Amino acid sequence: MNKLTAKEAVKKLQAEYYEEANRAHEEGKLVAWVTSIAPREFLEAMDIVTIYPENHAAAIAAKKGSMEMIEIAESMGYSADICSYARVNLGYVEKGDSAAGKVPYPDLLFCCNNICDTVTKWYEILSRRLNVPLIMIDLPFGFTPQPTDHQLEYVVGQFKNAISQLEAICKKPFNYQRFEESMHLSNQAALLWKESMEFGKHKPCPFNGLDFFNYMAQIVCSRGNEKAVEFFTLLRDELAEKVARGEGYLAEEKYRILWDGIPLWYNLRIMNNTFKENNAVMVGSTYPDNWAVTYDTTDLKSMAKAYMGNFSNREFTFRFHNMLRMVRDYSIDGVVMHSNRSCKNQDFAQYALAREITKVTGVPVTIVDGDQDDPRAFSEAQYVTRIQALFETIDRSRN
Amino acid sequence: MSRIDEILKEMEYIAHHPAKMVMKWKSETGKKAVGIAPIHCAEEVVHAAGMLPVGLWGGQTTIMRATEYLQAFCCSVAKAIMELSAAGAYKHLDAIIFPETCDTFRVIPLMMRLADPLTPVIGLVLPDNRKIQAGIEYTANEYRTIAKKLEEITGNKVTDESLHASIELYNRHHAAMMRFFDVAAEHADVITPYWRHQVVKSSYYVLKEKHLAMVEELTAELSALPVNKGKGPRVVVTGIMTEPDNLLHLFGEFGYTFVADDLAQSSRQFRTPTPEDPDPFIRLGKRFAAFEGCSCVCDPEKLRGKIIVDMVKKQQADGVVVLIMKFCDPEEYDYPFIKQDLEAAGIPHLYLEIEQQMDSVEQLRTRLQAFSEMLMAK
Repeated sequence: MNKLTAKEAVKKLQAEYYEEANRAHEEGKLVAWVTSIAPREFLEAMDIVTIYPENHAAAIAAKKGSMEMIEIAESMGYSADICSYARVNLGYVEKGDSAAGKVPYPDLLFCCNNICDTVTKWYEILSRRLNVPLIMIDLPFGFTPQPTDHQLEYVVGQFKNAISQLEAICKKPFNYQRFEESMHLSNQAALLWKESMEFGKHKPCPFNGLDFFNYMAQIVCSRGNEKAVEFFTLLRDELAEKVARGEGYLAEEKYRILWDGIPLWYNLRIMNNTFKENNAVMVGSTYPDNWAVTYDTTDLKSMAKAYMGNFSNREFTFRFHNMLRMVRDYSIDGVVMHSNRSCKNQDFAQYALAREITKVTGVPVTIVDGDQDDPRAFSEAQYVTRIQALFETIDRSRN
Repeated sequence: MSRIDEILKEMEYIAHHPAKMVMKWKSETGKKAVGIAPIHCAEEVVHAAGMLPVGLWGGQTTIMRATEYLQAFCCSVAKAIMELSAAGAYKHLDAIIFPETCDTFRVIPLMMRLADPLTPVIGLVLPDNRKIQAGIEYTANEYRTIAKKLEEITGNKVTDESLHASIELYNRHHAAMMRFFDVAAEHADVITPYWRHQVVKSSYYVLKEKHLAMVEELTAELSALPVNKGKGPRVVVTGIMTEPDNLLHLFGEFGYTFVADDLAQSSRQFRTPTPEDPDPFIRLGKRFAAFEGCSCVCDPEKLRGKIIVDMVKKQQADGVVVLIMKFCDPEEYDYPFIKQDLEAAGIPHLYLEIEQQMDSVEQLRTRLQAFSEMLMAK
């Protein structure tokens, strides 16, 4: 792996990941379908192969195959209003193949609702449709700045319950030793991930922030095992060297952009081009920040709290302050919010967030309409116009 | 005017004047009122503190201010709640309890805190793992926390004794509502869909003691009348709610009778009795554990379709009307399995997409008429 850049390495790792998953399944290993910010350490402990329908759905969209899946789901009665990841995956369940290849079907489901309530509905459907057990990790939404003690106790109670469920499904005792190792590895990967992202604070920014949407696959799929630590060490070192050399992603860095939300997986090209052609660089995003999960590995309550702490599971003030902090620390010139037709949980605070951010920092915010996986909800021309308008607003504020 | 008409008229007045009812309660008793957003907060906690629980189910309002907070693809109930909040309509409430019912309801209470900062909004997060011991205890603790916060805000205290008493009262009220639904199905000439809804809706704006007395009297009066099953289709209706009124009138126009419902605003509130336990908060936890069949309550077995099929069989209904609130994704996720379960049982159903602020229901007219004709031809 030494000779590869992080960008090349992640491509190779993802390909290997799907190959290995398919092979392991054929060899009789258990497969779990898992939500993206679930505490996968529990599954690592039981040597379960983890597949991420959200990632797979994103990959299918990137290969322009999402509409094929969406049409299957919609023909079954699933509304165009529901999350397009869910529609792509529910279509995939019927079809069994996709533009981004196959993934093995699950023996169990592992759903953690710290990202949204949508995954609860989606995994209920999978459980009945595929007739496989669902392990639900319910991380209560935070209406208060910090989780209450009884919320943490409830989550720890669920962790213990999940261990019993896993023992019953795997027909073997829970491997506490591997669990502990996995917790350590997860923390290491999360720290490396955070460190890597924070290089975006440098001027010039050493990376194209859009690449983090690719690196994200590794923090999702492999956080908690050795591979993720190895990969993110490579990434961290690569970026540290660039920073030491003063090397920026752009020759001339005119606009530093913060992106809020999930990207347009089917059209990363337009995101990339509109930024690059205008000497703009995405230096940070609220979305990948979600995986910077670190905790005390000797304390399940601390683990519970860490997994409850991503922004989509937190009240408005947290989201607002988090964004303020990013605007300041990353020297942001403009914010792009993706009003993502699939993600009501993230969307419905954006208008207020946009107003408040501009009021406090003076930094302009533009809201672009789109969807993570359903290209029908996106207009390229409108997108380009809004981004151009953002650049013009920044220019005006500079004169 | 018959006694039945008098009671129904009074209920209709209550259902259409929530603000007046709150002001009347406050001025007559000097006591406080607490708003409760949908779907599954146990009102008993508010009642036990000597306050009036007020159901916040949106309403007929023009959406203006809410568009400053919410994108167009937000469900109409959430938009109406946001609009009413931003317009100051909730300012007479001493607090609002807002359960995290769906993704949209994660955000609405946060926006209400911005739009109307003087009305405290207390979040309630009910569990998905509601049947395990940790889940039952968690539900109990959420309600204990709510009781404590209500006490801080209003000074009114919930004691174990008062909560047990409120639970007993609510058990009686819920049983009376379920009994009323059964009796109403036998008196289609009197209890049309519109009037059935007035009985349900009025329960949200007066104390349950009063509503219980009204429902019991109404049921007794109805029982004395000769059975009348109506001439039109006898259906089970499922969804969040059957509002607005013009939709209910349209059902009435084609002679529909709602012989049972699986509505969030109606029978999902009433159909699960609260079990016994020495600890009243644990009782509320046990009730939430025992409840089944709502799109906003975790259910890996997806029992809702089967529950509706059972309702159809029990009431010998002709069919089912599935009312999907536009942009309500939990309901939209449930629909394909409901459809599958109904079709497997050979039960015809009609899917209708509705919004709480529909100015016109004319586009639904043809479909309701066609479904009625189809059912009556069988």
